[in-house]
Amino acid sequence: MLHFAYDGTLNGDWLAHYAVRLAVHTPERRLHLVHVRDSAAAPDLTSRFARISAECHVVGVTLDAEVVPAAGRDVAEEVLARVPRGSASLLVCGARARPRNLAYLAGTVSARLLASAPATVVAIRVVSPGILGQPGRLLLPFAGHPRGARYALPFLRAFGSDLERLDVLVVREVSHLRYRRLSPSATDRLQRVGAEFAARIEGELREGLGPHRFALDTSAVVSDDLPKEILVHAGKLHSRLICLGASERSLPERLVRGNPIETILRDAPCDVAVYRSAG
Amino acid sequence: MTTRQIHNLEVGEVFSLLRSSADGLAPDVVETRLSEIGANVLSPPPRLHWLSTLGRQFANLFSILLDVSALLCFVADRMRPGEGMALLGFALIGVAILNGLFSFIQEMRAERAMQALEKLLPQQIAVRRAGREQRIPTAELVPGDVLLLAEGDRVPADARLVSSTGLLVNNAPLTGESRHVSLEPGAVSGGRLVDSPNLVFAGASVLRGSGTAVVYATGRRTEFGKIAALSVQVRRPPTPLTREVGRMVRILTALAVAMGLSFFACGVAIGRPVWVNVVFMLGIIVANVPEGLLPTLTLALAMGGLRLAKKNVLVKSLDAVESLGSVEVICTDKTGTLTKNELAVASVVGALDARPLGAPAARRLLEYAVAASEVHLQAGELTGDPLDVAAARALADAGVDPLALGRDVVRHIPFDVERRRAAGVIASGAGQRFVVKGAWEVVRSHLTALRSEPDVIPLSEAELARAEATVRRMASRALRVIAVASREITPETVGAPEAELFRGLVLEGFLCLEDPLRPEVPEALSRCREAGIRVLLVTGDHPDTARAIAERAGIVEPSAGADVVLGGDALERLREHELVAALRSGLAVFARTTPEQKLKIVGAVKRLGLLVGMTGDGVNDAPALRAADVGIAMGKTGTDVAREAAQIVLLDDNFASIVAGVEEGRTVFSNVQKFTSYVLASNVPEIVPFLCFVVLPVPLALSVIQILVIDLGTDIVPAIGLGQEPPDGEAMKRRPRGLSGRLLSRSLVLRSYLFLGGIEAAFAMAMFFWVLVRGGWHYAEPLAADAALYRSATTLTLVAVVFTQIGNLVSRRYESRLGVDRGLFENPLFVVGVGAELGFVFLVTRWPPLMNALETGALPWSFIGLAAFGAPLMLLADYARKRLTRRASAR
Repeated sequence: MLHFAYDGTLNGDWLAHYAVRLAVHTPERRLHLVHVRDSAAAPDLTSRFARISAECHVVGVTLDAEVVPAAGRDVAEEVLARVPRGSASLLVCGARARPRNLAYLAGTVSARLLASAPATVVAIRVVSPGILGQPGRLLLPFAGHPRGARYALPFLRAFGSDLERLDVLVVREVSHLRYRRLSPSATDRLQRVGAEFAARIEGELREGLGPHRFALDTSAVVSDDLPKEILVHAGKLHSRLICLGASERSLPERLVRGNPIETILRDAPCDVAVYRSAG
Repeated sequence: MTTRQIHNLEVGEVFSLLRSSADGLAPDVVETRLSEIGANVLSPPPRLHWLSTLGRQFANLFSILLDVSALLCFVADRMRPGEGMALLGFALIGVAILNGLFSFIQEMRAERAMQALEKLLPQQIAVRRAGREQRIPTAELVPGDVLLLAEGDRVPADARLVSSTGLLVNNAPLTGESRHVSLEPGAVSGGRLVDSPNLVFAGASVLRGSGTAVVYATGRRTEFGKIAALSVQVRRPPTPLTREVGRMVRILTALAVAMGLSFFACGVAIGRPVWVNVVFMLGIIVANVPEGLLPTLTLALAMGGLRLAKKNVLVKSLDAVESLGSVEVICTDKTGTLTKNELAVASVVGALDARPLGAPAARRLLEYAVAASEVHLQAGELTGDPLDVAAARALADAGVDPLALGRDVVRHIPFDVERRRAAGVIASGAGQRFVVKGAWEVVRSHLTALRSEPDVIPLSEAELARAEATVRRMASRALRVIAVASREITPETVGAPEAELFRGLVLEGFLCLEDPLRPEVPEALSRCREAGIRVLLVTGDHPDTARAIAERAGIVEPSAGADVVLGGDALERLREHELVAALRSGLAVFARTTPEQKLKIVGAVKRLGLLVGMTGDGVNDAPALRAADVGIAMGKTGTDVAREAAQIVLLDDNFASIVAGVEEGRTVFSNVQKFTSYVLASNVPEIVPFLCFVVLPVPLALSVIQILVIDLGTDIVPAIGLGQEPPDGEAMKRRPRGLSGRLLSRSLVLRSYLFLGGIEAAFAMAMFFWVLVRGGWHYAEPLAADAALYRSATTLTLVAVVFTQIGNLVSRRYESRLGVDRGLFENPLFVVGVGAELGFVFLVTRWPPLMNALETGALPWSFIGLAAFGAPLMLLADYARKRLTRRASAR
């Protein structure tokens, strides 16, 4: 079942393209839309729901729209209360621009949903509404996390046959100082380690995504700037969606090296999805 | 379920899915979207980023070394005022500042690439918002805005057409090809977004017609914005020279500091006062740091850049002078680089057998082709479309005046971009003849017969297949094939509609044109092979055409298999490691490639561990030009964006100029090694006196100021002279250095410090003690710093170092030969360098102001004559070493 935390904004409307397309590939072909009426000015939901419903109709998806009054609990809690726990569910929410240059994700409802992750949660920032929720070409970057691609699989499976090309990018991150002094042989060594990791990821993806035919390529790079490397590769590879695992950097790490997710959300030339799987 | 993209939608759906309408967006919706998506501008650089860029230039080891050297000079000046040390300190700081500013300007050039890109986008555009037409700044555009496009407009964002009237656009900034594309608003099924005929892209220009379009991507999310972002974000790898100089500076600094600290520790251990130890530590460091090396390097590169400019290679970054010399792979375009970028008629062939037509038939076909052309005479030159001019020239060569023929043309139908044909009606004897020239695919549908000399035969399937085969055969020889057809008409039909005229044509034959190879290219390719440089052809042409040109140029052997050529579609499908494997097994020609694919090719070549140079001219070549180790832009035909993104601009677009640049670059590196060895050698006779002074009870043979005078005075001009040595003919016979080639190689260090430096030190110290002993000095006897004997001894030591350095200088001119056998006046700066050293010897022993400043004494000519033996001694000893080394390596 696909659940969609809809905030009634323009970004929510664009996000609905994703929700509808992802619902197409669920066994039930149902889209459970949850809108929590908070203190903010109530949007014109009737026409918005009608448009989403029309989109669902075109692709044969049933829309279950649920409007919930906040009733004392905050928005995240209300949404979480309506999403069953377990890896069978997928919850789609948004990551959008906020006033006064506040972070796209940190401190938002979506961040709390990602942190709780009762199911596979994905927060998507839409900057290319023209692709209509069907990015086709995905970039899946890794910085060498031991869990590999396992946590990305539930989200990637949801794209089903919409997935045309998946580029795996493994970035071996080194410090600025070290990067400037890396010899070609040291770079080559690090790249080989990255390539081995990428090969492992590729195996997991091929096994986990089943027989569906899509192009898959991997590359490994050495860099001192993870977000920049991801952005450059997204441009080079014409990716339309960057899929990032939710950050597990500690506060001190974030203070020293910044939060790559926020940088990518801000500067990406394409849509960005931040995912986290249940468990 | 098929994937639906913006170009697959019906017009009505476009508005619905982008939450817009034919009346456009309401102002409050625009505001929300603007805050969500951001302004429609290309990625602006972060504020004040230039400050951090500037700061970085002064925080590298290169700058720090110069600053520390300057600091040492100021310390020395404080300890011994009035010796001009402060002036030297300021000079070093000046060099550090100049170097830093120079690098800063280079780095900020990336901004200029972005500015050049921004110029391709308009400032204002007409839109419909809330039902009202208005002109707004393009920065305010958001997805869902309704654009009103008219002839002459530049498109400011990616948009989907919803209505159009004869809309014709030029997508050159995006596709790299200045091709006119006709657009229609209807939905298309499947296909790539960028090829879709119902989309307009940012940067494109409207050539004709008008249209209404809904914006679906703005700013850096447009296809153009993505190119712009890559043009700035893609990191240019540090040049081999930057790496090597950094490594050299680290090694020399570590060596200097380690030796200084060791001497300090020794001094403390043997009980010398701390202050004296500090002074000696500084002396050792000053002696070890080749202060003049880095400024000499900068000057050598700058002068190398000037020499390259004379060879039509404009260098935008000093490091690139040398980088070009280290490339192992050159990826080159075809048109204009390998070829002349001008059309010429190669042959006129019959339709059925591809055999050249006889002279009368060929002349007739050329007459028909010219009658369907438009050429004029301007300033004595034929002008017009290159194809028309080529046909007219061929006709003139056949003895017919094309301009006179033009006077017989009674009707002209100009070239139609979409239908790819031109036609005319010419008075032919008593009658009239309608003549057509155009693409075979276009002309063939109007044919009913063909001429097979001397007959005209009806066109059957079999003949059509033979004509098709002729076209393919000629195209595979890199020829552009133009069909020429005609038919007799009556005077009444001269003014008939085009559709009527184009019926029942007789195929006369084919005009085969070529863009000839530049005559100097095969020789340049042969030099590349000799120099171990691999050349890859990257072109948008058909694979057969690309291969034919590659064979003619010598990039591939005619006997090579089909796997040396790879088409663009196959390249798109290949995974990176597969492309690397293909390159490893001899892939040399990339045909039907798009400029974006150049980035993939650069990446694969780099994966092979090779240094790559890439040529480019279009806007969308900019990312690949930045990603390559050496980006080479075309000066004549290139766009501003390509020129700004590249490090090197070819003023004549000629491949041969790249090869000339490679030779110059290799010579620069070889020269840098020569003067590095030259400069390092003199460090040893500067260190040994301190070593003797600390370890033995003997006077100091050279003062700190005398050391600095060698490093920053006598060594500089000869080193600059070595930096200007012309190519020695050996440069293009060596393998490329690649990434593993070292500037400060082990052999260079050992030769400079142990052999050359050892001889210099031994000779100079021998001179020093010879003067002392001759003057009555006894071992361990202290001498006052201003004693005449002491001054004479240190002066002769200094003079001996200078003379042995003259020998070293001459010897450095050749790797394996004596050095005196190279023309003395081949390099005027070399003569100036030797002259400067001899002049210094004279002044330092004869001119009191300099003698006082450097604490030297007068020397008799006989002493100077004795020291002069240092030059031949050095030269002969090094020649003996060269011969032994050569013999050893031969074994």
